[in-house]
Amino acid sequence: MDIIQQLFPLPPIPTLQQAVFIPLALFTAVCALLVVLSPNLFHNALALVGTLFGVAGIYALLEAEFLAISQILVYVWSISTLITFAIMLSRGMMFGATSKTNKQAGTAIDGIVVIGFIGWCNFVSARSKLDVSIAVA
Amino acid sequence: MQGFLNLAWLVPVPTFLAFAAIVLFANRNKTVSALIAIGGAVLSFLLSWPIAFSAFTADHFGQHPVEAQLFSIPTGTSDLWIGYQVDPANALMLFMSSFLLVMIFIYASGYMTFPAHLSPATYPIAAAQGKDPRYSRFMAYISLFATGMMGLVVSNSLLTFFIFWEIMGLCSYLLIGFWYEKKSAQAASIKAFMTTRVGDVFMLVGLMFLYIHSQSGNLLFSDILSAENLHHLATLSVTVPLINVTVPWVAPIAILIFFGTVGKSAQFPLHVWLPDAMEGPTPVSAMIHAATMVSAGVFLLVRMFPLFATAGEVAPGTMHFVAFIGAFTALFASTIAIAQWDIKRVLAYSTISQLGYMVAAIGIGAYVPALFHLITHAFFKALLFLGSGSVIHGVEHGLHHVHEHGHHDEPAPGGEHGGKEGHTPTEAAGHGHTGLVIHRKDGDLNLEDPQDMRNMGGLLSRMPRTGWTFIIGGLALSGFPLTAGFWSKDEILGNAWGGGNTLVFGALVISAFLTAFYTARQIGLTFLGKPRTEMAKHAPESVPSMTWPLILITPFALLLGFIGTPWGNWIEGFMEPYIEHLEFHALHVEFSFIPMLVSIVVAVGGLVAGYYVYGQGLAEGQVDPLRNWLGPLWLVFHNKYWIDEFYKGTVVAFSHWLSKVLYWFDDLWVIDPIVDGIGQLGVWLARLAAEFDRLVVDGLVNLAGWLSNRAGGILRNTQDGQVQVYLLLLVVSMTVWLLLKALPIFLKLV
Amino acid sequence: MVPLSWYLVLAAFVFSCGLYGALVRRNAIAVLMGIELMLNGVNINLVAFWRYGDIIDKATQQVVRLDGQIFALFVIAVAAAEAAVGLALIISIYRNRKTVSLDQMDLLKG
Repeated sequence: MDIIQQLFPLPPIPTLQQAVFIPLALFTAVCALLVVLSPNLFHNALALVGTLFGVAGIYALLEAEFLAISQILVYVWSISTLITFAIMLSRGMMFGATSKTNKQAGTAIDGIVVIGFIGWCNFVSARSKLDVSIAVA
Repeated sequence: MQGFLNLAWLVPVPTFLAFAAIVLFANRNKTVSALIAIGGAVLSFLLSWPIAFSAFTADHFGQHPVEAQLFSIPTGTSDLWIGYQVDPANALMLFMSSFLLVMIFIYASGYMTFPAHLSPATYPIAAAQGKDPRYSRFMAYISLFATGMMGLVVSNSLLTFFIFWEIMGLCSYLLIGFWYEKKSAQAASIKAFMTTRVGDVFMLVGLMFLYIHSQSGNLLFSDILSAENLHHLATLSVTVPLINVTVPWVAPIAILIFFGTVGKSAQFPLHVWLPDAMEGPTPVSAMIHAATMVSAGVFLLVRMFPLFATAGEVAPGTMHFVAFIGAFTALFASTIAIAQWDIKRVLAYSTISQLGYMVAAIGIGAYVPALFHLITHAFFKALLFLGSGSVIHGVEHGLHHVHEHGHHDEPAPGGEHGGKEGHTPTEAAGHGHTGLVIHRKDGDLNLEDPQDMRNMGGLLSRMPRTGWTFIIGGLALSGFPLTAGFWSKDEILGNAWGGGNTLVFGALVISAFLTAFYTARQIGLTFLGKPRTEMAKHAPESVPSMTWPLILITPFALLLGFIGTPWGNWIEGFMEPYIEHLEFHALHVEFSFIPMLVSIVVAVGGLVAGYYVYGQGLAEGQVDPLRNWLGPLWLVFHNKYWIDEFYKGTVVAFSHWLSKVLYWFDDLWVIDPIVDGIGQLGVWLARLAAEFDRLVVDGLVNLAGWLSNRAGGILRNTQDGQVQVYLLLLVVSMTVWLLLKALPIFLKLV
Repeated sequence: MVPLSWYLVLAAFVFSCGLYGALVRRNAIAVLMGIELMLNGVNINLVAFWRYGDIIDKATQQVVRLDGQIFALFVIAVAAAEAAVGLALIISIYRNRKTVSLDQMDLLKG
């Protein structure tokens, strides 16, 4: 149990920022999952737009307003438009009986989980130093 | 005239060229072959006689014999020198053999008619020509033989002497077996070859010892027979193994070389081949077995006489042995000769006996008489052989005549007879010598055998030239006073008497008596009295090419002895300087009337006795009177002391047994199984190696290839062009790298 | 104050989602979308570290350096360009081969 405590250190009561962050992050994460998991390409594109909006919100939360505006301008407007056009232009070929994913899905998930885990561990090991610096700030 | 002496090396060349020309070019044409052969012999003769006579006429020729080297064959560290020499001894040989060879060649060209034992149907062309189917081959052989003889005579080293000696041995084999369709001829040729081989091997061993122990390091006569070298050999002693006697080297060398003579000149233990060799055509008998080849054996003794003389001085047993062999052979062969029926076999034993005379003469140190008898004997024995050939030929013709015209005492089968007159000679010849054989108290008699003297008789009137020349030759052989044989035989007997060799003298005297007796018997049975058969009645005189040689040889048989009379001994004077030149001691005796009287008495006595018994020939069917007088002894003589049977039972049987044992040893039991086993082992090892190669070596190579292939097969999957696979690989690699990076953290956490 | 780790967890999640999309989707456009997600995850990291890093002027207590923001801005620009080029390529391939399935695009096969 100590290890779990160490790995997932959560403060007991969220602050206002935290209260904003949690729904925003959940929205973003769910949209991100939809992007890769939804079988319909159009839904993917819509979920991507949602994700991008969420990320823009995160920027704003991090006091990077200019970036948030740039994100919306570049990503949500232009890239989304491009992707939508591309989907529409190549449409017709994508509605077959074949799987949406290729054969290496299992391997890829394993690899990603491991990478995520390692990243997590890195983060945990680095946290104490960061916390110190934040505390100083 | 002296210039001719340096041409001596040319003497063997024409006959050799004739041989080559016949073999290579002229073998299709019998007449041309004969002309080439005779031409070669005549050229050789035309070279030899000037050489011989320039030697005869030169002053003290023996003091400065001609000797020169032509060229050398390098043999390792030494050289084999090929050269020639002319000295009194071989001048006499050149004189004798070149003349006789020409005579015999001419005679042979007439003699070699279609032989009776062949079927004319097999050789129609030769039968139509009336000549032997292998006439050209015969001419080639005798030319090669003449090369061997002349080369032997002029050679100046013992080694070249031996080479030519062996060439003659080869030709002898080829010529004795010339009518190889006859089983007896085959057997005789092999017998002659093998028997002389025994002597030649001993001689070769002697040659090797001589070469090793001589100071000069070569076998030139001038070197090995020099006084210093002989002295060296006489002082060098050796212990002979087995008998454990220490003697000077010169004695075993002399004995070993003497065995060469024993083989070639048909002396006692090895004499058996010569009578059988009469299976060859008669010119061959005359040439090889009377005039030249067998004389070569004695000529070897004459050549090597200084060696023998030295051996006799330091080890007297050597010369005693030679004398014993010679005297014994002379007596032994002459006893056999008195009980033979075959006209040529009588002469063959006579030859053995006369050669024994010469060997005995050498053995008692009578150098010049041996050479003298060698020369005279060659003439009258060649004459006798050629005469006997003429007789056989005539009787054979008589046989043909009888076959063609039928037996006179048989009733002619009526009118049909006229139609059968036209029998071709070829058909008649087809009968061969397959007449009725009757058993008589004095040996079996084939009624159609043209060589059996019991089938002859009274031929003198039918064949006067042959008959008279044969009688002259016979008188010379038996030593009738004033003929050639008388003088030379008298010389030997005189030397034996004067040298005190009583035993030798006695043996030679008895054999001289027997010689005269069997000569008279032969003449009586053949030429005197009345014909005993139809074929003898119809025997014609031979063709001129056969009778002229007889006539030409006759003067020599009569008169040649006058070169060696006790009163004006030209040959003694001719040889004397040579003996001085070579510095050896030859027996020299004062003339005595006793041996001469004895010689005259035994010769004339033998002739008279023979004439008394056989002078009127025999009646038809009459048994030889000697058979009754001598009883079983006659059978001993007639069966040649059963020496052949003895050899057959011992030496030949042992050889057969040994060859059988060796065959078993080699082919069945030991050698072949071992060789096979080694072969099998090799195959087995090879299979093993092949398996090893296939499994291990190839396996390794294939494994490497297989690994490369598999690795390529695996790795090529990563290069499949799928972008996402590349990406995944990237991710996996990153994962592994991060895992390694994170390892310390995990350890810390745990 | 939201802890930095929260941002980082979100960023990792977004990145992982994008990586998953990039690795497993057959459709080239979906792969491209996964890549955009990964870039956004990275951007969150950059901005979060910029915000929480010790690059604050001690005197004024103001953030004086803009490294993280500028990096993120560059990423956005590059992502836009990349999206434009990538989608152009996809359309081009589609025109040639009548497909946008990455499984069938193996011209680089060795």
